[in-house]
Amino acid sequence: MSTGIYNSSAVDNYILEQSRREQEITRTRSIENYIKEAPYVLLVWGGRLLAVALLIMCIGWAISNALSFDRNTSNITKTMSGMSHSAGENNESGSDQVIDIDELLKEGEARDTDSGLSEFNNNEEITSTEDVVRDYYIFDTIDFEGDILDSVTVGRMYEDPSSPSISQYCYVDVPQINGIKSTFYFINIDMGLRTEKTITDEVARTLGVSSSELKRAKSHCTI
Amino acid sequence: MNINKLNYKTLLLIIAMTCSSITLMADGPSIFNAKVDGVVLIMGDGGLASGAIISSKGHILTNWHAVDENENMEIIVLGEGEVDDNAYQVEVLKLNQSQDLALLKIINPPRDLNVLKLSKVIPKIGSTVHAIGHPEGEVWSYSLGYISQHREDYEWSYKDSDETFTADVYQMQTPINEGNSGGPLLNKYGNIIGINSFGYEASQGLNYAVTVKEIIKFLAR
Repeated sequence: MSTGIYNSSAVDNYILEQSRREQEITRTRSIENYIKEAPYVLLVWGGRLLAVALLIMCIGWAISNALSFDRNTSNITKTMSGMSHSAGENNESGSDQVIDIDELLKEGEARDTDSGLSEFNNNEEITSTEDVVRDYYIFDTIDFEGDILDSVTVGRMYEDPSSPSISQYCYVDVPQINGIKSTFYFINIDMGLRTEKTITDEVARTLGVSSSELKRAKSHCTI
Repeated sequence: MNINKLNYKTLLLIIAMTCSSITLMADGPSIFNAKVDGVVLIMGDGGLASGAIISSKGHILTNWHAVDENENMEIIVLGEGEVDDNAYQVEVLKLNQSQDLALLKIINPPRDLNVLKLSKVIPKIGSTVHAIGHPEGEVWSYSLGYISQHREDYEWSYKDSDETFTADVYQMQTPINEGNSGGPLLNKYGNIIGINSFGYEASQGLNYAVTVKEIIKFLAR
C-alpha cells in the first residue's frame, strides 16, 4: 500500500492571495460608501441635535414662565371685600415708547407746554416704524374781561410729543354784528420766524374794538 | 427609516405647539396681574366709575362724565384689607368736557401705587387691547378685544345729558359697560393707549376710548 503525498501549498497560497484581494476590495468599497453617505449621516445628526436644542430651549422657556408666575402669585396676593387677586410687580414696558407723565403733569401745571414737551420722553428715540402721536395742537384759552373781547387764545402745534412746538400763535375772536366771529392774530411764530401785527386805530376800527382793548388783550399772549 | 421620519415630524410638531401655547398663555393673565392695581374704583353719589393711576403722586386719569355731578367722590385702591382701608379722598385738578377727560389727585396717596405708563404709540387697526374696570359694579374685571378703527374728531353724547363731546377716539371691539368709564385701555405692553369712554347699547362690539393723543393734549394744557 502506498501513500501519495501531494504538495498543495501553491493552491493554498493562491486561495490566500484571492482572499486578501477580496478583503482589500471590500475595504475600499466600504470607504467609498462611507464617503458617499457622510453628508446624509451629518444631516441626520444635525437634525437630531436641532430637535434636542429646540426641546431644551422650550423647556427652559416654560420653566422661566412657570417661575415668574409662581413669583407673582406667591409674593403679592391682595384681598379686598372677599375678592382676591394676584398682583405682579410692574410689568416691563417692553419695546413700547412711553411718555414721562410726571414731566407732562409738571408742565401742564406750569402751563409752559413748550419747554415741557421738548423735554419729556427725551430718553427714548423713535426707532421703530410704528405710528406715534404727532401733528397736534394745544390751545390755551385765557379769560379776558373786555368790552367786546372775552378771551385770548394761544395755540401751539407739535410734530411729536418729544419735540418743541413748530408753530405758535396768539389770537382773539371778535364777534361781529352778523353773528360770525372774526379772528385777529396778534402774534404768529412759524418755524422760528416771529410775526407781530401792529395794532393801529384803523385795524381797531375795522374790527369794531378799541385799540386800547386790543393792546390789553395782546399783553395776555404768553408766547 | 419611515418610523424615524415620522418620529422627527411628531417631535417637531409637539415642540411647535408647546412654544406657541406658552406664548399665548403669557399675554392676558400677565397684563391683568401686573396692571390691575393701577386701576382704581371711583365711588360717589353719582355712581361707580374707573380710573387709571398715572403718577406716584396719586394722579388719576378718568372721564369727565365720571366726575361731573358725582358728589362726595372717593377712590378705592386695590389693596389688602377692607374697602375703608383703601378708600382715599380726591381733589379734581383738571377737567375738559369736550374731550371727556378729568384729572384727579389722591389726597395723601399711599406709597406703593402701581403707576400705569402712557404709551405714545398709536395702535394699529387689529391690535389686541386690554381693558380693566368695573362694568356694572363687577369690580376689577378684565376684558380683551381689538382696535376696530381710528375715528378723528368723533362726536358723541350721553343719554340724559345735553353735553356734546368731540375728540379723537379708538373704535374697539373690547367689551365695556357702565362702570368701565374712565378705565384704561392697555396695549400689549400693559401701557395706557386710551381711556374707555362709551359704547352703543343697541350694537355689538361698538365701543370707544379717548385716544392717547387727546390725553397728551389734556395733560399738557
